[in-house]
Amino acid sequence: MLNENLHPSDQDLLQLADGELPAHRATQIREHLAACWNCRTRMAEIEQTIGEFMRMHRQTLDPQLPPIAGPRALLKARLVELTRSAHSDRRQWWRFVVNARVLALGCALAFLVVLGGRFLCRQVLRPESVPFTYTQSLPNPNFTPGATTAVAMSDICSMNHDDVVHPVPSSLQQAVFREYGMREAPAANYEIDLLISPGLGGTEDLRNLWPEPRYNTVWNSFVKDQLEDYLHQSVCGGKLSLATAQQDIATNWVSAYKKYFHTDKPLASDSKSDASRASDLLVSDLLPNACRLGLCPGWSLGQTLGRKWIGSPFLFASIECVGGFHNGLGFLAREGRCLRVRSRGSDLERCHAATPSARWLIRATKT
Amino acid sequence: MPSVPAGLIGKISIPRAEDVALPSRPSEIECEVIRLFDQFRDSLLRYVLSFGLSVQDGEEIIQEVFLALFGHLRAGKSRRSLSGWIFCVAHNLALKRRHATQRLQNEIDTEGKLVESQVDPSPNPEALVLFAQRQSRLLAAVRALSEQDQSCLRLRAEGLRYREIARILGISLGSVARSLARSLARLMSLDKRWHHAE
Repeated sequence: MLNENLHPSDQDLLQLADGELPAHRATQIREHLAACWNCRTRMAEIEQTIGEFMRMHRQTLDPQLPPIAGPRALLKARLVELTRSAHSDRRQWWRFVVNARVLALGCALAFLVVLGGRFLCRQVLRPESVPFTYTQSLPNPNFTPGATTAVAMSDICSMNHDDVVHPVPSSLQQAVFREYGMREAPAANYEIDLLISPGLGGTEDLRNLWPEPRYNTVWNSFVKDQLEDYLHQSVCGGKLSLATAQQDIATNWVSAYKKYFHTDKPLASDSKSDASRASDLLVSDLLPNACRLGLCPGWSLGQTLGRKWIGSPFLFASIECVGGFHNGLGFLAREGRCLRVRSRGSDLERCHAATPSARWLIRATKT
Repeated sequence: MPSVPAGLIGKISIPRAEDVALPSRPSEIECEVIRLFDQFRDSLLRYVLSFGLSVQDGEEIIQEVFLALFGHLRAGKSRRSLSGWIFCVAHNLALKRRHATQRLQNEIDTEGKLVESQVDPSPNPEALVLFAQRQSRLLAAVRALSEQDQSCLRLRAEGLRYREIARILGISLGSVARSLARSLARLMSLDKRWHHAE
């Protein structure tokens, strides 16, 4: 039995409070506490200090925690991808076994029929060709699993999808090319794209960037832009949860496109497959009335028009102010990374000033 | 408003939300991993952030932890004390990340944030300031503890038992008990000094 005068240590009291003492020792100390006001006070102080620490611990860190929905969706997407790649690995393993059997058979034949057999063996051994263009349409999930940041719906829905799109800095672009082992690749043929678009909470992070082909595949960057626009509208229209949109686009954006647009091939009219066509874009809501022909402070037309127009193969694009009492015609000139509106004479400016509600029509000719 | 020739504008038929096909059913292990993610994500992120890592690094570590957990469960490995296992992996990854990025904790900034982020129900501004100062001092006292003592304290704060903490940090059960007692004694003495000063 614990002597009444032999007070338990702080460590004993803490372990008792934490339920970490052996049963007999716990009983001894409880009996002591029943008799000793001094130790009960110490016990209360320990509990109070724990409470203070817990408050500080939570209040320091909790405000930094982003909402769980985005990371949760990303994890789900990664798990789906892991499961799928595991299945595909298994399938490839069986294909290898089958190929090995066929190889053995082929080689046996080769042994019997030397010339014909060798030919057959080569044919059987030839690896199955993988559709190169399709593979490139999707990022490597190991390099580009997608990354999101905490966003408020009010933030992403208060602007058009293209408004939140900015060119990726060239240093980051180079890092992406390096990661994908594409040092020698012609940069103009790729758009360094965000897998989860900024309008869906995606971040400009190496884990969210990959070199997306502009050409060589029908599933190119222009097609993905359409999906991004659609998902952004659906999320902001309350038809789709942000988490689902993030998950779908991160898992396999081509499948997501097929799912949401109910099609097996891109609907895009401005895909590279239609390279000979002129492409037109209505931007009535994008040009603020206060804008004076690309000279607006803090506002760049290139950014507003989005990635589709930046670094793209458009060498000439015209801009029209349609409606009102005047019609104006100008053209878009590339200045660095931005496209700026230039007017031939002052027609365009007059048109816009006279009819602020007039629509803008940008017509670009692909070269 | 004048209309623009319809042919010039690409049309996309937008499906209704109810027409969209549902994704394929996730496996049992996927569901279990997501359930554990829901349960432990905040605790883990708090713990990882206490290493001075950025939120983005922290989130990435948590993702790695749960992907590793998925592999662990899919390989049919032990399910005993999964919470301890999860924290153990997070602890190691956080140490590795901190070492790799050489991002040291910016105490001043965090303390600044703490003072700003305090929420106290008291309407009295003086009490608010006092409360914030007291919390800042407490944080400074915690930061002055050894790294192992801090880890013990923070892991215990996230609800881990002594045995799990011992396993995560690779120390004995007795060391955990002594570390916690030592840390609390430091914080208590600070608290007494604070009250005395008041």
